[in-house]
Amino acid sequence: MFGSTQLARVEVQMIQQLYVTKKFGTYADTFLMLGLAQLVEYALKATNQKSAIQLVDEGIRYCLKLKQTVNLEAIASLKYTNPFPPVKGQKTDISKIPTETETFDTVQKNDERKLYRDYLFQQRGKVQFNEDAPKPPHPSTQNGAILTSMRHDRNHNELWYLGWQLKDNYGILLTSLIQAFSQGNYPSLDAETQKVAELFQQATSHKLPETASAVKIYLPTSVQGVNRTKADSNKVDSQKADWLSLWLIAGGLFNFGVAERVKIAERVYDWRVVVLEPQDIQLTKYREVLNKLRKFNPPSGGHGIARFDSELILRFCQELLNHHQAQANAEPDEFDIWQPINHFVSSFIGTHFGSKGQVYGVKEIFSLGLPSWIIPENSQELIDYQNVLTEHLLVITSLSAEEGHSELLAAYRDFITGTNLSHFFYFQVSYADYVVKRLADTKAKPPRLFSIKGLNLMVKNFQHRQKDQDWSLTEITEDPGFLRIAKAINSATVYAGKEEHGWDRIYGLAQRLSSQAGSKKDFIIELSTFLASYENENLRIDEELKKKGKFRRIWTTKDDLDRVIHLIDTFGSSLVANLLIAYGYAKGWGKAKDADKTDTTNESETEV
Amino acid sequence: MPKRSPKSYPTPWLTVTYQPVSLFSLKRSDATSMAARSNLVPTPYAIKMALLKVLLESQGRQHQSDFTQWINSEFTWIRDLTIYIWPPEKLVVNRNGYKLRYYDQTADKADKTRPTIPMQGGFVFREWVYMQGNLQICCSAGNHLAELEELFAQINYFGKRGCFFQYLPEYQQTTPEPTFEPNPTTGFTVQPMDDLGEKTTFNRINPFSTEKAQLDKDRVIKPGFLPLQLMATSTRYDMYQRY
Repeated sequence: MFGSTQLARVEVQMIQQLYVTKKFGTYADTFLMLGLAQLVEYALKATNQKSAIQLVDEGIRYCLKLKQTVNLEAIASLKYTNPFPPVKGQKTDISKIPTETETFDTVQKNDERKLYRDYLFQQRGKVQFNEDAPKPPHPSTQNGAILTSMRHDRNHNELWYLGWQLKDNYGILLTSLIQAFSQGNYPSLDAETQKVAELFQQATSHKLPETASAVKIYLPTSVQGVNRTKADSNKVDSQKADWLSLWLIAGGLFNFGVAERVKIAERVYDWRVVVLEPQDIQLTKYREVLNKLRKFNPPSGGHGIARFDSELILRFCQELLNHHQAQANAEPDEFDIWQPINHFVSSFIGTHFGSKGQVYGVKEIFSLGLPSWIIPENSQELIDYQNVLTEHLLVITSLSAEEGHSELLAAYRDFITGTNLSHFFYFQVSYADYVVKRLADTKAKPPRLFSIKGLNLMVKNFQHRQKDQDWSLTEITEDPGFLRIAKAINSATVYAGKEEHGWDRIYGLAQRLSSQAGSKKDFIIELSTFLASYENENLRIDEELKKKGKFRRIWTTKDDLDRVIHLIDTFGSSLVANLLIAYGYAKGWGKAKDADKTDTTNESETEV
Repeated sequence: MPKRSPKSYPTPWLTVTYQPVSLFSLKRSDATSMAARSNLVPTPYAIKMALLKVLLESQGRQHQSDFTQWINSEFTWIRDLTIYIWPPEKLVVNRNGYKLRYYDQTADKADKTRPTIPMQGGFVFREWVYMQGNLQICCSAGNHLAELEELFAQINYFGKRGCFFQYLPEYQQTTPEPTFEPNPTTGFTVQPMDDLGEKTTFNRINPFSTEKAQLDKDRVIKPGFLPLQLMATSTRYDMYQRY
C-alpha cells in the first residue's frame, strides 16, 4: 500500500495543477491530456473532493487546474473502474476479457445510431421526445466503430486488459499519475510517464506494462514506415510506444474523439477523426457540448470532406452557443460566456485515414480553426449568431460534392476553418455566380442566400488595417452610397430575370468585379461599366414599368458612385469590391418600404 | 530543460544567418516516412550533419591517408557544439498528401532473388514549411571559430535534400554570450530537438559503417522550445508567428 515516506512527500507537494507537455505534435497530445483529465475527475469525484477541472492551453503544455489541493491518501485506496470499455465488433476476439466486464458492442450501438438518424431524417431534424422516438445513440458510437473498422479493436482491448491487470493497485496508479504530472519542466519528452512508472514501482513493487504497439489511430505519425536512428536502410518497421501514454490516449480518444466515415467516391469511405482543442474551458462544459454535438447534431459524412469539416464547425458553434444560451438564462450575470468562441476552445485537430482497400493509411494530419468573429455580447446577439449559423448551415447543406460543388465547399471550408472573416469573400464570389446560374434554371430548387442582417453581424467585429489605422467594416457597410450600389447589383442579378419584373438578369458580374478588384482604376472602370449599363436598362424599362404600375428598380446617382470611390480610396478596392459582391448577392433588401430607408432620392415610386 | 551554467560552454559564440530560398522540410524524429510531419526549423542534429557534410566534401579528400584519425578529431568538436536556433518571423506549414511509389518490404522478403528493389504505390503525408525572414543559428564555437565560420559559409541546405538556404555573411556575429537562448516561460511551441549523443562516434552515425546507432545514446531527442505562436490554422496550413 501507500508507503509512509511517500505519503509524507505527498503532503508537502500540495497538488493543485497538472501539466501535460505537448510532445507528439498531433491530436495524441490532446487525447492524452483528456485521458488524464477524466481519470483525475473520476478520482476526485469518487473520493468526494471538488472535481471541477479547468482545461487550459499554455502553448507548450496543457494545464489542468483543480479547485483545491488533492487529497492523495483517499485516492490511493480507490477500487478499479474502467476508464474506457473494451470494444467488441463482429469479429473481435474477446476471449481474454473477463465475463463480468461489459464490452462496448459496436454492432449494436451502430444499429441504435442508424435507427436514430433515420428517425431524425424522417422528422426532418425536428426531434419530438415522445414514446415512439428511438433513444439517442451513445456519443462514442463512432469511436468504437472506427476501432473495429481499422482493426485496432485488438490494440484497444489489449491496452484495456493491461490496465485491468493493475486493478489491485489502481488507486496507486492514479496517485502516481497525479504526482508525476503535477511537476512541469521535465528534461526529456517521455519523462512524465517514466516518473509514473517509477512512483508506481516504489509504492507497489510492481512494474507498469512497458510498451505497446503504436498504432496509427493513437499516434498518427507512427504509421508503419521508415524511421531509422541512422539513415542506413529503407526497412519499414512497425512502431512501439510506452503503454501508459497509449492507455491514456486510448481513454481520451474513446471518450472524447469525434470520428466519422466520410464519403470520398461511390462506395469509397475514409475515416476522419478530430478532437476539440481546449483553450480555457471547464471539463464538464467541454464534455457536455461535445456530447450534445455527437449525439444530437453530428456533421454528416455522406457529402465529401469539405462539407463534413464545414458542418462540424458550424454545428459545434451552434452547440456551444446553445450551452451559453442555457447558461445566460440560468445565470443572467454570467460574464464568462460573453467571449469569442475561440476563447474557450481553439480548434479541432484531426487525422484523415484514407481507405486503401482492406486497410487505412494516414492521408492527412490537419487542424480546423474556429471562427473568431463570433463574439456574442448579450442574449440578443446569442440568438442573432444562432440565426447566422443556421443560415450558413442551410447554404452548406444545399451543396454536395457529388453534385459537383466541391470547389464551392472547399472555399467555404477555407473561410469557416480559417478563423478570419476575409476568406468569406473568396467563397462569396464563386457562390454569387453559382446563385445566379441556379436562379436561371427554372427547374432547379432556388438557391439559399445569406441575409444582409447576418452579413452585418459577421462584419461587425472585423477590423481592417489600412494606412496604419484600424477601420471597422461598418464604415463601408453603412454608407448609403455603398448600399444603393449593392442594391443595384442585387436587382440586376438575384432579383432580376423573373418575368413579372420585366428586366434582364446580368450574368458573371461577381467574377468580373472580383477579377478587376486588384487595381483601383480597373475596378472603378468595371463598376462604372456595370452602372452605365444598369442605368441604360433603367432608362429603357422605367417608363414602361411606371405605366404598368410594376416595381421599379433603384436609380443610382453620381453621388453614390463618388461615395464608393471615396471608400475605395480609404479601404482599398479589393475589400470594397468583396463587400459589394457579398451584399449585392444577399437577401433581405426588402420590398418598397424598406427600400425607402436607403433611398436618398425623393421619388415616391416603389423601387426594388 | 536542465541548463548548464553559461560559463561551462566554450566561448565565443558564433551566430550565423541564412535566408531560406526554398521550402523547408525535415521529418520529425518520431514520425515515419508514411506520415512525415515536419519540424519547423532544422534541429541541432541536422545542423551538425550539414556541417559534417560540407567538412567531408571540402576537406575529406586531403585526408585519405589519415582519414579515421582526422575525422574522429573533427567529429568530436562538432558533436560537442551547443546549438540554439532562432526561427524566422513567420512560418507557414503546408500540408500535402502525395501519391508515391515506395519500397515494398513484403515483396522483397518473399523473393530475395529479384534483381531490382520492389516498389509499391500508395499515398504518404508530407509537410513543407514556408519561412518568411531569416533563420539564425547560434553555437558555442570555442577554439574552432575560424573553422566553423568557413563550414557554415559552405552550407547550402538543411534537412531534406533541396531545402536550400542562402548564407548571409554580413550578418555573422561573434559574441562572448549566446545572442539568444530558448526560454520556455512564455507560450512557446514544442519541437523535439534531435542532437548527437555525448559519447557517440563518427562510425555510429556514418551510414556506410555497420556500427549501430542507438536512440537516446547516439541520437538524443530533447524537448525544444521555439518562440513561435500559432496564429491561424486551417485544413491546408498552420501559420506561426515569432514572438
